[in-house]
Amino acid sequence: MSYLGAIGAAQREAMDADDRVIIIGEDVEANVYGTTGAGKARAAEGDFLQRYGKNRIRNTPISEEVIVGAAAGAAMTGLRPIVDLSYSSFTYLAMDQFVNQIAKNRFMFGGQASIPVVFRSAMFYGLNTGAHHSDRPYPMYMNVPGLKIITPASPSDAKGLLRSAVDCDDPVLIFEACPLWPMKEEVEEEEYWIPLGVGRILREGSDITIVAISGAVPEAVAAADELAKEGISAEVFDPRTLVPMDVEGIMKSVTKTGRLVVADPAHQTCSAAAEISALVAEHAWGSLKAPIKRVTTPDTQIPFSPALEKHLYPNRLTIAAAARSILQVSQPV
Amino acid sequence: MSSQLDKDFLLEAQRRMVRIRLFDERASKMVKRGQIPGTVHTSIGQEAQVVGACMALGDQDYMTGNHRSHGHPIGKGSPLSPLMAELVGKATGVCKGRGGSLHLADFSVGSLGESGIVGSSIPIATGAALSSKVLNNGKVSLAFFGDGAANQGNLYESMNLAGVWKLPVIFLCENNLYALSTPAHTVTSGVIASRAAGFDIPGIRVEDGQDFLNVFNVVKTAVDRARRGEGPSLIEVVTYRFNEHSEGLRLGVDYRDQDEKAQWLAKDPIVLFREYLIKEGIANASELDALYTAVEVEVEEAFEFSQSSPFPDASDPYLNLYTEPFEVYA
Amino acid sequence: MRVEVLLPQWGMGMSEGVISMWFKKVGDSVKEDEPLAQVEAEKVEEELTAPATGVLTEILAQAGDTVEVRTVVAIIETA
Repeated sequence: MSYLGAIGAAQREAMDADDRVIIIGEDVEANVYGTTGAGKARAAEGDFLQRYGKNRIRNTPISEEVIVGAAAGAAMTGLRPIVDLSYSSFTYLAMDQFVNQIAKNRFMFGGQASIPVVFRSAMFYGLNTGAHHSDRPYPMYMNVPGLKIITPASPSDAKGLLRSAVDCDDPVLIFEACPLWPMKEEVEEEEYWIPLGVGRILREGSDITIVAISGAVPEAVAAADELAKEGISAEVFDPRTLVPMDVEGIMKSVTKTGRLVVADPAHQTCSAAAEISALVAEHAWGSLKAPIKRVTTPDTQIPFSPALEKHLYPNRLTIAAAARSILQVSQPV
Repeated sequence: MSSQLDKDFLLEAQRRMVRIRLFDERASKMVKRGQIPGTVHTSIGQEAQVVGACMALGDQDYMTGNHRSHGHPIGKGSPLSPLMAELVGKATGVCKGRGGSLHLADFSVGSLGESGIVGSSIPIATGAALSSKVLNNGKVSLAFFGDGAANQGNLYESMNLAGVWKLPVIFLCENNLYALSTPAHTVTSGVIASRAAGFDIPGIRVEDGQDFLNVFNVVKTAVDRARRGEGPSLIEVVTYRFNEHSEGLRLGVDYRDQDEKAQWLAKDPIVLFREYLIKEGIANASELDALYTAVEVEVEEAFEFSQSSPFPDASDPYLNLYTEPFEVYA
Repeated sequence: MRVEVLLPQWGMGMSEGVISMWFKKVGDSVKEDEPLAQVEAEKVEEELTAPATGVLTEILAQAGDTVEVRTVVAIIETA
């Protein structure tokens, strides 16, 4: 199953399980982004529109503020919407609804509201789409208490986490990395849930911990495999959820290895990597044998030209180099 | 149309208007005495506009509003004590002291939240109408907003979405002619109600928002239309706030014309409705006096409740941040 | 009954005020809404008024004192 296929599968399961789940967003009726279709069964079953009907699968106008706010209002009054916002850069148009309504209403009203809604968007970075489509905004939303955020980095994680997100009674933002869309792996067809707030170890190791986020995860794994050939044992940990974060899992790994590299495709300042580094420095100081290093995207905007863009994001070479520098091992020639 | 409304209903209308008046007069005093932290925005003078709309809705229907917040839940039947306790920040407040005047909500009467950000709750009301539509449960939703908010983009996004999906929502503009110190006509191009035509939905301007029945009849027509599945309406009600934008606000300049103010102050909605009820033989003076006194007692009880209730326990700053809370790593 | 006289918050930005002058002294009878003291706050001068009718039994902040909003500055005993 591909990553996109996994998203579609999770949505289909959720739609089948509960009539209160609806999908709204631009172009969902025609399955333009490939997540509201029946895949191989398309010929027999049609897309989601045919399967669930126009009441529950709705194309929206291009109106992010009301799409997001109405989904919240609907969630407060009995529905469990999944909202497809297409590109993550478009979420900013609805910032007031995310920050001033969705994140705050349950708290401000003393618990009178629950807001069970999922907002999906994809980060189209590394694909020559230019500055307006390449944002990785999850750090901004991490700073808003009241939201939950997931960044699955594999098809199996995407299916289980998205299903949990829909079943969660809190608002969840899922940021999908487009570079991961074509990724394929064996995924259980049966229903399964991955709880929010639980990370996973992709490679076990003892010399250094590499915590990786979203699109940086497969790069971190590739870096670890390369380092292994040099006799360096790197542990790769993917938190999978940014809020609530599996800090316990990160601490366990760092207290074992004593060294940390955090690979995060977000811009450096106030990245998820920045928060993780601060938490480790604060709570695992006694275990650290070396300073923490972050591998992030520089604090500049994303240029269009293929000659200028790709190397800006964390990749297996830069992640491995960061690991070697902490271990004070020379870089390969 | 008024002949279809029975005496109990009309007296309840007067009762809710008097409740708003006396509650807000007391809240105003409390601000000036430091008994309410921060400030409040009163609906004094706008009671007919608020109650006329609220009573056109059913008890199951939804409503959202803005910073001029107390009138909305009171108009929809909220009890006064938990509201007043909330203004003072007590644990017994309707929002457990977490919201205050600017963020009142009483889900038990369908009040989904007053927003401190002008216009921000309009999409929420639109969403409540979306859920009614999908669940096919016949409920209607109403969004209160002011003349200032009428220039926010989210109103037009909401009207467009509600129009094209035929959502059962009423967009009600409380046009009290001023957005804080700014006269509405100096920042508004055209007439607010006319903007509905662009979305092919009905737009009605109620010129005299001081008349309860005037407002009620127009909103009821829109509510019935929505409940029949015919979609949203935009209603602009012209009214006036008798007090300052917020209690305790001292602006150096007199931005409202004194003659205009005098004319509006002479149209007190509570006095006008009292005269109507007496003239039509629906109620007599002593019944209405008794109604007024009963509300005075309610407000006094609400005040006592707010003073004697405890403040909330400060030990859990994360209370009700999430429906499914998690431990913060320490 | 003991009623607290608090320094009000006149305007969203006010955090403190200075009592420039008391009009009443301990032992005086006061009526609800009657001015008790002159207060300077931010850019404004305001009158602190009585929240109840009774006797002013305590003055807890003196003329010239800077006081945070919602501090109890006096006590009135009502009948």
